[in-house]
Amino acid sequence: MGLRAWVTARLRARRTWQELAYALLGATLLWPVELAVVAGSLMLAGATLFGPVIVLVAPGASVPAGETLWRSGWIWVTPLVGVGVVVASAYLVGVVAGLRGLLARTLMGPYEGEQRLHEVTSSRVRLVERFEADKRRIERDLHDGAQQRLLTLSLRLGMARQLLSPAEGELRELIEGAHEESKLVLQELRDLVQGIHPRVLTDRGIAAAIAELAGTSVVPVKTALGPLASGLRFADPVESAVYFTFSEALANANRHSQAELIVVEAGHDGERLTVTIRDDGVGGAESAVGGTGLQGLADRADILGGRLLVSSPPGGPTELRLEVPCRPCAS
Amino acid sequence: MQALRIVIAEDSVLLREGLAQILARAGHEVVAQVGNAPSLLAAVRRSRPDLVITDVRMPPDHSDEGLRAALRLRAEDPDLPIFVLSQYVGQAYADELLESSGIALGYLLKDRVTDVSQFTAAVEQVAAGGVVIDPEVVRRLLARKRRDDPIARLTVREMDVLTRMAEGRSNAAIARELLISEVAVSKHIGNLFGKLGLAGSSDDNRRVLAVLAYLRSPG
Repeated sequence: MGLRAWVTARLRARRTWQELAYALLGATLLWPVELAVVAGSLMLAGATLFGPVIVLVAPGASVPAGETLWRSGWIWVTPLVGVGVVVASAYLVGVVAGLRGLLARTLMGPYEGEQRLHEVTSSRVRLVERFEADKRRIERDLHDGAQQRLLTLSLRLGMARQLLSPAEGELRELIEGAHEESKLVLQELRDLVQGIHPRVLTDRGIAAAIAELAGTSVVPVKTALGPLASGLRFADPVESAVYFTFSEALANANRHSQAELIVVEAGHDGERLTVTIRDDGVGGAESAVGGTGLQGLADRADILGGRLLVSSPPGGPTELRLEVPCRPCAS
Repeated sequence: MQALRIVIAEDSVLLREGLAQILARAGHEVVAQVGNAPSLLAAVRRSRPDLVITDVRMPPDHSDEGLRAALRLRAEDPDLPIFVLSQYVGQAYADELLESSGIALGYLLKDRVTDVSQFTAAVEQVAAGGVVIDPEVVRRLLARKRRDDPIARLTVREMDVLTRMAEGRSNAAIARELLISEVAVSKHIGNLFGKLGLAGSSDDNRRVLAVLAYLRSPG
């Protein structure tokens, strides 16, 4: 970049003028004020703290009324006043410095670092979106591939089993065993695939998926999903975050909390989706935040620009609140 | 049981042929095998089958086209027996089907087809106007109801009988499976109907519907 281009660029940048204004203010108005505050505080503190010494060393001149104070004995009180002055001036200097910082931040605008931070966040968002897309692809591949093949295998074993006569003892046992085994594998695979990306979430949206999950809970679940219940849909990463947060909360409540009721509520204020999951159990889930479950969900919320709040004091109740800034897609 | 004319809609060719094979072996005729929802609608309108078996998820969208097609066929012909197979238990899917009409309806997890004789029996039951609902769905409906006293008062045995009833089993079949007498089964059914506050009925289908309606009612 040539010198001229550089100068033009600098002259055009708002930042240049802001910095100039800040420098001018500092060089003219601000420094006398700040000097007065600092010097005044120091002098007053020194004069009061060391009042008796000053009067003793330089009687008459340096401290007005020093003679009078000395004779009345009040001079011995000034160090005490000095302590108060030190404390007060410390606050005063702090306030002035704070004001100066505020002025600097206001004039200089956001620092370049924040720009970088924004870029990093958006690349994390892209990663999450990619991650969601991958999960759906894996779910679909498993559904179209392994699950169908395994099902066909199991069906053939079932057919073979039907053809065998009771006379064929050992063979029958083997085939029956293989058939039962294949059914267990099918079940396991189904659970696995559901955990990767629940089908009903894609097909029916978050309210139906929550209802579906709630149906598997031993602890009764009360839902008040507000706008979600009327079919509002959100971007995949948002719906996934809500689903898996609820899933984790439900699992924890069923496993550890001894709760008798779980309440899940959702709301959307036009800018932000809030989902709250509460149980009346024994609490203590906060310590689990260090674990992978809640931490992973908190990270996910963070990437979406939202947050996951957990309150679970010992003795309960436990409350998880997920807040994600988002706008609904077409319902 | 007389031979049924059946249309099968399932996008996995291997599985579709397997299904056709077991149905043929049970003495039924598979009049059409299709792999997507539009072909299903066309095949049913063309060949007027006695029963339709369809997968929930099919091309082109791999969403729930099969279920949508089934509901549409049901709207066109409320008496057409429909058997829906699903890779997952979807309460939402089951609810939509049950709301469409409560007769000649089957909803089973795909895995259940591998128990060949039970599956063909279920198909015949639905063709005859019966209702067959997957035990997993019933289990979840029961869980949803757990906080209600009447369900909590059911004994384990009565629960066993209840889930099998929802699967469309006859008293005789339930008795065989639970290794108890048919009289005992009738007694359990009488007791659980009493506990749930439902009117008893000798009609298998009607009593299944009564139980399902009870389980699905809110509260």
